[in-house]
This record gives sequence, structure tokens and C-alpha cells, in this order.
Amino acid sequence: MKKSVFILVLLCLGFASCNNETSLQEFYVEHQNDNQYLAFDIPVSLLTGDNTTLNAEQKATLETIRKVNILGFPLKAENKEEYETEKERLSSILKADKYQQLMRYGGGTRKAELYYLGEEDAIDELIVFGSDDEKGFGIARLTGNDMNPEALIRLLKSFEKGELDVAGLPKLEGFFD
Amino acid sequence: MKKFSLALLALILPFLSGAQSFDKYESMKEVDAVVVTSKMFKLLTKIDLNADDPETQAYIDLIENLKEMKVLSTTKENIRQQMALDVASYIKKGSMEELMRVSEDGKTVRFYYKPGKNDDYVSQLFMFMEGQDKNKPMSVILNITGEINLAQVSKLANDFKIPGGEELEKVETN
Repeated sequence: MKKSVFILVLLCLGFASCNNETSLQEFYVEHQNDNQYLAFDIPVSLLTGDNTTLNAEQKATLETIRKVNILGFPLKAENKEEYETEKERLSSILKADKYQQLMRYGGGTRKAELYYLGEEDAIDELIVFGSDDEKGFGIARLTGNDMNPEALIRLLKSFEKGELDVAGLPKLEGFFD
Repeated sequence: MKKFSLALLALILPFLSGAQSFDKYESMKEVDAVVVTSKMFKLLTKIDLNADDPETQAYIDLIENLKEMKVLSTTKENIRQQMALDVASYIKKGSMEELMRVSEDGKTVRFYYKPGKNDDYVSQLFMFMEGQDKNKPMSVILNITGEINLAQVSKLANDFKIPGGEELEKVETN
């Protein structure tokens, strides 16, 4: 009898801990229609324009990137309390082992953390979580399938050289004005 | 009961002492903190392009075995004093040995280390700098843990543009 109670307790604990673990995706879905938040979900195809000049390798890299999504919480006088609790919730979500922390920075009222999901040579998600206690917090996610960091860097370099056409980007900037 | 609390204390104590004593600075508003984790170093080894070159290979070997790099810097006078005190007691308490000491243009830089698996490697490199940054007095703590090849560590300064990073170039092995 005692044993079965013990097992039951263990089982309950197991379930409880599973339920507590919200993923970033759930947090995102929960808040994307919340009017306190700014949410953008942008497929990479929308950001890039004519990329016929890219070579096969660059195209292949671009195809591993699926989308960028951004969730922002602008701080106002009346939502200070919510800012604190939601920021806290996000940091506890990111404490899960699957989110591998690469770097963190803190200084003044600002904080930034960089994480990734997946394997070191096949990244599924890159996450930037930043907050400023005077302006608000934001979380940006670059999702894809097995993104290769080396290839990503090379693509980024070609973007600097102007080879990668990001015709969609100016349109996006308009959102923030 | 007494025994139990003693055991508990013995368990907790290691966490309270050691490098842990600098954690409080990380959350201070007046302190700029940068922490780079081992995962970042592992990722960097995947990115480094030309591994055929023996120089690059040595560098990859260095960063592959780094555990964590932490930089804390501040320009606030009261925190600088507190840092200096904490560093002094940390060095005294820990099994750190002095590696070198540089004094120039009103700046003092001290390096300490914990011995590693052999003479070429250290398991911790700790730097404390007191000096100036843009005419403001500044103190910087730089702590690196892992398996550190001192002959290679100066190269980190190129990859990480951090306060006090350029001091790493002074690390020499004899």
C-alpha cells in the first residue's frame, strides 16, 4: 500500500513538472494577439528579394532558415508590474537545459542573452532575449532546420557585401516607426 | 541535528566561496558584465575557417577547452573599492598563484592562475586591472576557466573586444 502511494506521488510530481515547462513557442502563441505585445512573424522568403546572383551554396544556406519572429513588450507607465513578471517568466523558460546559453551581457538597465537550440553544427533556433528596464523587453528567434553556423556566417558576410538581396527589409523597418 | 546542519554547511560552503563571490557584481547596474559560455567556444570552433593552418589548429584547441569567460568592469568608485577588497581576499583564500604584474601609465594589471594538468596548461586565469578608460578610472576583472594554454591565450584578445582584453596580449610564457 505504502509503495503504491509513493509511486502515485512520484507520478503526480512527474506530471506537474511536465506541465510547468512552457516552451518559448507556447509563450509566443499565448502573447502574439495580446495588445500589450508587438509580434512579428516573418518568413525568410518575404525578407529576401531577387537572389538569382547567389551561388548554390548560399541558396542552400538560405533555405535552411525558415523564419524570424519577434515578440516585443514596450514598457509603459501602467504595465511596469506586468513587465517584471513576464520578463521573469521568460528567463525561467530559458533556464531549461535545451536552451543552450552562448553569452550574456548586463550593464546599466540593459541585459541581453543569446541562446541556441539544436546541435552545435545543426542549429534549429537562435534566440536573442534583451531587456531594458526603461524601455521594455523583446525576444527574437531565428528558426530553421539544421542551420550550419559556418555557412550562416558566410551568408552574413555576403549580405555585408551586398550580394544577398534583402528587398523586404526596408518594408519591415516601416513597422517600427 | 547538529551533525546534520554541519553537513549541510559543509555542502553549501564551497558554493559560497571561490569565484562565486564575484557573482553579485553581475547583476549590479553599475557593472558591465559579459559572460561567454563553453557552448559559445564550441560553436566558434565550428566557425573557424582554416583549420589546416597549424596556428589556427592551436587556437581551436585552446577555445575548445575553455569553460567560461567572464568580464566584469566598473567605473563607479565605491564598487571599485569593493572589487579590490574582494579580489584581495579571493586571491588569499583560493589556491591562486601570481603569474605576472604589469604597471604602466597609471595602470596596474595583475594576473593569477590555478595550475592545470601540466606546466603548459592552467585551469584558471584571473586578471584584475585597475586603470583608466577614456579618462575615467576603471576596474576590470577577467576570469577564464577551462584548460588554458597560456601560450595561446593572448590570441583571445583579437576575437573578443572586451575591456581589459588587450592586456591578455601581455601574457607570456617563459
